[in-house]
Amino acid sequence: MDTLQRRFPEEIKAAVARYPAGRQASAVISLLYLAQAAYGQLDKDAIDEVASVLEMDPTQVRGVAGFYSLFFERPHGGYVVQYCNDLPCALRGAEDFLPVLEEKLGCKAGETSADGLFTLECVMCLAACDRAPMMQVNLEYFHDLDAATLDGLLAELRARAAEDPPRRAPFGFGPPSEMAGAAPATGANPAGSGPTGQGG
Amino acid sequence: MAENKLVTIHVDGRAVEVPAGTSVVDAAHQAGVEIPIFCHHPRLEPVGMCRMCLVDVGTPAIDRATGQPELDEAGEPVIRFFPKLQAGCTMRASEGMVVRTETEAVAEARRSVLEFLLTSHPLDCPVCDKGGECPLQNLTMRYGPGQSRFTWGEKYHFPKPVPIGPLIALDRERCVLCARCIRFEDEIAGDNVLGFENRGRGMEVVSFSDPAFDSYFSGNTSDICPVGALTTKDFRFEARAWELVGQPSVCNHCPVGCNTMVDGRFGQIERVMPRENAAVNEIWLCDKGRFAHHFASDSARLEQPLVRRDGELVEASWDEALGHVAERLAALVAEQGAGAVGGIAGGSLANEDLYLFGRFLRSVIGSNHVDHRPALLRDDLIARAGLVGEARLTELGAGDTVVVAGLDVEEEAPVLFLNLRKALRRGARVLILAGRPQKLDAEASLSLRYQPVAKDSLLAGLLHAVLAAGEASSADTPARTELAQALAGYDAERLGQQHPVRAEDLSAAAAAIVGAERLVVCFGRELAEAGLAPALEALVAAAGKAGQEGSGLLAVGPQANSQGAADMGVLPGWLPGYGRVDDPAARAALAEHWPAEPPAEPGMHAESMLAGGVKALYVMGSDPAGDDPRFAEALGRLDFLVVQELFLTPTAALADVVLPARSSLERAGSFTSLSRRVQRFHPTCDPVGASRPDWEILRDLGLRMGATEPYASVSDVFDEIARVAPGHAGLDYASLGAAPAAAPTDILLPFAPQTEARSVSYEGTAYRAGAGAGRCWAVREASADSALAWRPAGSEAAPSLAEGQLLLVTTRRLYDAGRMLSASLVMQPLIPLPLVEIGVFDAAARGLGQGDRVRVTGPAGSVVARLEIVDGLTPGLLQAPEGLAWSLPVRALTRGRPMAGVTLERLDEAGEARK
Amino acid sequence: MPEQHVVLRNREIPGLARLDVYVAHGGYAQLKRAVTEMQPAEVIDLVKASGLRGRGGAGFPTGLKWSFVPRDLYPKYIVVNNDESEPGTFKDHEITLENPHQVIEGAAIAAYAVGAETVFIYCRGEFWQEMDVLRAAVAEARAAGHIGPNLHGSGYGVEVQVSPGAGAYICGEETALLSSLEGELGQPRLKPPFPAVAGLYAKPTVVNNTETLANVPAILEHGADWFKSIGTEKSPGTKICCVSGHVERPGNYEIPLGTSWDELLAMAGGVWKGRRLKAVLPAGASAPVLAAEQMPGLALDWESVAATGSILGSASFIVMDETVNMAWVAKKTIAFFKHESCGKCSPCREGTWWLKHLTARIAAGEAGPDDVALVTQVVDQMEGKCFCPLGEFAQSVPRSTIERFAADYAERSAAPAPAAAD
Ligand SMILES: Cc1cc2nc3c(=O)[nH]c(=O)nc-3n(C[C@H](O)[C@H](O)[C@H](O)COP(=O)(O)O)c2cc1C
Ligand code: SF4
Ligand code: FES
Repeated sequence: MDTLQRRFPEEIKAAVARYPAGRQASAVISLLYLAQAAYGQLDKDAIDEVASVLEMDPTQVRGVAGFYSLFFERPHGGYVVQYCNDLPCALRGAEDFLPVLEEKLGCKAGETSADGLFTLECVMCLAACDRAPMMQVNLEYFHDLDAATLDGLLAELRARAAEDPPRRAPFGFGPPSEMAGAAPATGANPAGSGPTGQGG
Repeated sequence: MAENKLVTIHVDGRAVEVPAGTSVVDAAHQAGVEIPIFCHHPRLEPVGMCRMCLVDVGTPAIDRATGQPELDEAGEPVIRFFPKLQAGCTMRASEGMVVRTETEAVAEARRSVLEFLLTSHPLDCPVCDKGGECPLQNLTMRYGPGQSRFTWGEKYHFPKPVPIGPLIALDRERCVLCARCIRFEDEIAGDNVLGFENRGRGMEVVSFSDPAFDSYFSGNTSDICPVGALTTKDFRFEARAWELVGQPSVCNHCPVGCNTMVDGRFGQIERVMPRENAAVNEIWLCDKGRFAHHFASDSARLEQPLVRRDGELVEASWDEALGHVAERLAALVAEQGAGAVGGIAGGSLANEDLYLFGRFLRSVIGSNHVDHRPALLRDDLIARAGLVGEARLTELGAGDTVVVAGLDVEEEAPVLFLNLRKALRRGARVLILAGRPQKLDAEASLSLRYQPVAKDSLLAGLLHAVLAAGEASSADTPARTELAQALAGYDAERLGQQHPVRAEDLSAAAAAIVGAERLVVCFGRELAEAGLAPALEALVAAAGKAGQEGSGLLAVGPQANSQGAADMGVLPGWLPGYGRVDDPAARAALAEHWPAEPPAEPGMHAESMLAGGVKALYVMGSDPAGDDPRFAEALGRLDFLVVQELFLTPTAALADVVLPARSSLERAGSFTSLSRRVQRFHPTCDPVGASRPDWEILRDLGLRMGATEPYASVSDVFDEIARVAPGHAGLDYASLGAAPAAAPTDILLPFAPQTEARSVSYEGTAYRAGAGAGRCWAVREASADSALAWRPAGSEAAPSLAEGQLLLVTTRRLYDAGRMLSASLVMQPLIPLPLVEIGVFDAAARGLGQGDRVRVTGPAGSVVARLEIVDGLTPGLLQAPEGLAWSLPVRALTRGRPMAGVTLERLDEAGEARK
Repeated sequence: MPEQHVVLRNREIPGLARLDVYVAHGGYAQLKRAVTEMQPAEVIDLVKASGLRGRGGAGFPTGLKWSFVPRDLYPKYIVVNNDESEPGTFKDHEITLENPHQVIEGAAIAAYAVGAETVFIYCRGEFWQEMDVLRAAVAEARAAGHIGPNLHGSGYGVEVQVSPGAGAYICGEETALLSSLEGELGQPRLKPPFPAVAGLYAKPTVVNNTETLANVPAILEHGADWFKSIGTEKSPGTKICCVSGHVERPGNYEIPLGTSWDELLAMAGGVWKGRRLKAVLPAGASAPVLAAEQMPGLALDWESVAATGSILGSASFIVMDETVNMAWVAKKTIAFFKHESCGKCSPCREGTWWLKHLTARIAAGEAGPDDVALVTQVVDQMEGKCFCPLGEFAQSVPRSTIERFAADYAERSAAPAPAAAD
């Protein structure tokens, strides 16, 4: 039971080092992201390993994992598609666009596509309401969705997965700066390129 | 803490004075006003989650300019009420605060919160074990809406109870998410094994520890659960709360002496609940104490006297059996003298049994061969140096220091472990002196680790450091100076070579000991067996605490009444109340109450009696044959053996006469706890067959053999004890049962009619049904000088180790394979199979792995066990818990010694030793 | 009044996220000035004098908050609240991606002012791009000596760490945030003690919103009077308004506080598709709804919005046109709060769950005759009883929409089939 420690030794050290000595429990969220990447999901082994690394009781770690919405107890697709249909996005057509997305992904909200590539979830506001309909795919933002751009986008994601099998499950969420050893953080929408702020 | 300052607050017009910082809920309670609660619990930190306790709170308005309270025209302070209702559990009382609980807004809040809680509740009260003593039911009756408007079928449904641990079932539908169970395990027990998973309405209580809900205290969560979400496995569906009749009792499974309420129906025990004793167990109980009662109704209990005829034990009447015993003993005494007869008792019998046992042997038979086993105390140490005054271990805190010496507190005295955790929370310092890791290490202020073979040098070193640290404050007496000279060589440097102890830790420990306001030293069998208890007496004296109120020693014996056994003079050289056998005055004093003066020569220890020193033995509540085959052999050679027992133990099976006794659950009597608290217990269920209380058997046997005292009840026996034992003077059986005056630290009692017998559980305790809280017997005036007489022997009788051998140290676990526990079906799976523990380093050096099957060969044979690798165990040690289902008891393996050199071999599947 | 970019100056300065560009435009000069030329108390006094109020929602005076931190307890912490999860709020998102150094500098100045040596920037879990940008910015700034030990020889040093959340709106509430940062469930804690006295690891801690701290370097640079000259007397400075929903150009608009609603709406291109305004939620899903009639001329500052019975909060305006049925809006906001209720206290946990069923049934046109009245009763039952403000926020929309848009509920109760949202 050292899948996590074998895969991310440096990252674990870095995460724990962020906090004062003796406060290693503060790194639990960071380690859960890493464990999710290493194990594919936060199953018992993953929880137990995080607990033993941080000297916590597995019950505490499981509690944390269960509290937050970005942690998965069960297997999920290589790409987790989190589609916002909260009020602001819904006002701009997010509910109407959902069936289009479902059809193109080949799965309903809450399900995983038959090829195991996509898990679709409807989520609450993602702080990009000005560019609805929008979604995150493995926490990467994709804005101003419409049927036409979606085709291109999904084709690109499929292509990425094909050339980079680790893209397929298990795939961990989390900031690449925290998971240097995980799949590369290339994005159609690289950070800093101005995803919002149309209005000014 | 500033909490001692008293403030006056007004609750519904009633003024009450409470320490500043008291919660409004508790303050109102003292004013006689109930503020309903769910998540709050008087023994836990307030969290304010359930919002049931919302009340209207105002505080005096302060004039900013003058800093004085504003006054209205009538000269009364102006009260500013908070715009919103406030949670009474988290709001702290302050001077002049006004609380209103009878307003419409408060009533509305209570209705609202109850309606919210009931939206998710299954309302399965007819089949719920909590029904009848359920705060949710009761508060709904009192404050709830009559009807729920949450009408459609969208309640959360879960599969009915799931085992959340081996002893506790969880019904998630019923849970109101108050977190009391989680907080209990975290704050009180220190086991982070329960938690919430998910969030919002999806939250549920879970345990992901391995094994699940891994805590010795899990049963308490079912008491304090305010609904029927957590139930104990053995009480589920057994009875309705209102059918139960509770009788106050005292736990007989360890020396802490937790107060219990034993709830029964139709003469059968249904459950054991904690009964509040603010000085002992507060309202807690360990799982052994709670679940081990099943032995009482075990079908193997002895029901009739047995007499050996033609080599077979056959049933006999009491008259026949007692007549036979009296006749044989009289004949033996006539033929071979009284010295041919000896008596051995166990330490879990009542004071009254033990007292009459000694009286019978010493005065009726005329033999001083009287002893108890296993024994911790061998003399009057506790009368000399015991904790002075009434021990209230639950009140230790800032300024106090507790030394835990040679004792694994959680395993050997679980609720003492809770007391010490609480003391730590309240700012006390706890120092551990031990030969091996234990759970309290993690929280203790300091842990000093000794080499088991050189315990006395560590104690000498600590004493040396304490004398040095105390120099400034204590005047030098000749005794101090002599001791200091004798200890001159035991400096920190020398100690560091022998023990893994750093100089700065040693001096920190000494500083904590010398600087303590109260110094409490708890010691266990490990030091007592090595003869080192006097070193601790010296420690207290060297710290200047001898004879000081609240300071002194506590002996943590192996059995519930180990202290009482010594007090009652079940020791070869000591009479009841610690008069010396060879002291004519002590004997003469006894003779006023006894048929005859006891002989002047001290008698034999149990070991010598069991080594063939006597021809006839009277054994009461002890099983030497089960403990060691050597003893079985010796017992087989006796001319006559009488055994008083609950079960046909290996010893009973060898007896000529077996007399069936009642357990403490079936009779009255008193036990003396490790804090010297004498506590009464009452009959809680029907007796088994023709069994009789031990004291009654001894009384009747005595009457047949010339004694005349016709004691009508235990009370008569106890009152005689109080006359003969100086420390017990002033105690009397009736007043031990008087309810104590309510202390402010007592838990809230329910606002419900209180009856004597019924133990409605509320807030996790059965309330006192007039059982009393017991009293501590008084120690003598201390003499610091004689206490300083201890000197290190320089070498302990350490076993010499052959090449490749390990030092086997026997240890004790809370869950053992004894009769008491194995009779409980729910406890059985928790009893470990035979195991030995080895340090990480030794395991690696020997290529051994976790769970390997090993053979341990000692001086008297060998046993097979599972190997467990333990972090932090000193190299060279092998630990074996006594009391597991060993093929040869480990104490027999070591010929009765606490330590022995042993060899260790790993076995393959076929049971062959592997290289 | 036009837009005025103090925090969003990245709009004018391309590449401001890069250290060199930031420094070229005066970046980190104020931190340097503070640690080399100013006493901590002077910094606090300056921020107090500026009248800066927290941009995270409550509008609490920032300088005052800093002054609550006890002098003699160490260590202390600054925690940047970058959890931005209120529906309709997306300003911190833009600030951290486009102008991260200004946040870091502001936080470091705050740290110097209160005597903290560690800053934690807590980002909502979904913000991993933000975390990467922030981490890169911190690394760059540290390498260049703008933050780190012994700054400019002053003997004072500050380290900045970026910490992830993992998807929980409640972690924006400051005590829940601290629980989360300590590795516990993100549930709020009892106050008092307040974080300023016993916060992270029970040490004195200041929690400030990203936007709040991003204002600090400018205040040091231009002075308190300059800051006070912008906005209103009680609400000085600029505020980034997030405009979403039914406008032509949704987005962030940084305006002097007190600017009128009409101007903001105009900046956002007006109500879309030429439709009529029906209602506005001025502080995301947490604010009582404002009807179109209440909007004209409304000054956008904390006091003026509060006077309408609603709140400015963090200024996230969700704009709704005439096609929107308010019963549906209530259903959407309740779904959010039900999802985000942390579960700690019963009124919020059970109330949002109950309301979810009720509002969904009403929005679907399947309501029973008393259901709308029941919604009001349930929110009354929650009101004033919850442990933290989330439970109170949850009632805002259902209560206010029933009060102001009874017809919408009547229509849903009568209508057999649910109508589309827009
Ligand atoms: C339910 C809830 C959610 C909140 N979410 C945020 C948030 O996402 N970001 C934020 O800065 N403040 C949020 N707050 C406000 C914070 O509790 C706190 O007031 C704020 O971070 C203080 O910073 P400020 O004084 O700079 O505004 C929230 C408060 C509540 C009650
Ligand atoms: S929270 Fe609850 S239980 Fe609890 S008393 Fe207070 S409000 Fe209470
Ligand atoms: S509501 Fe969709 S991103 Fe804000």
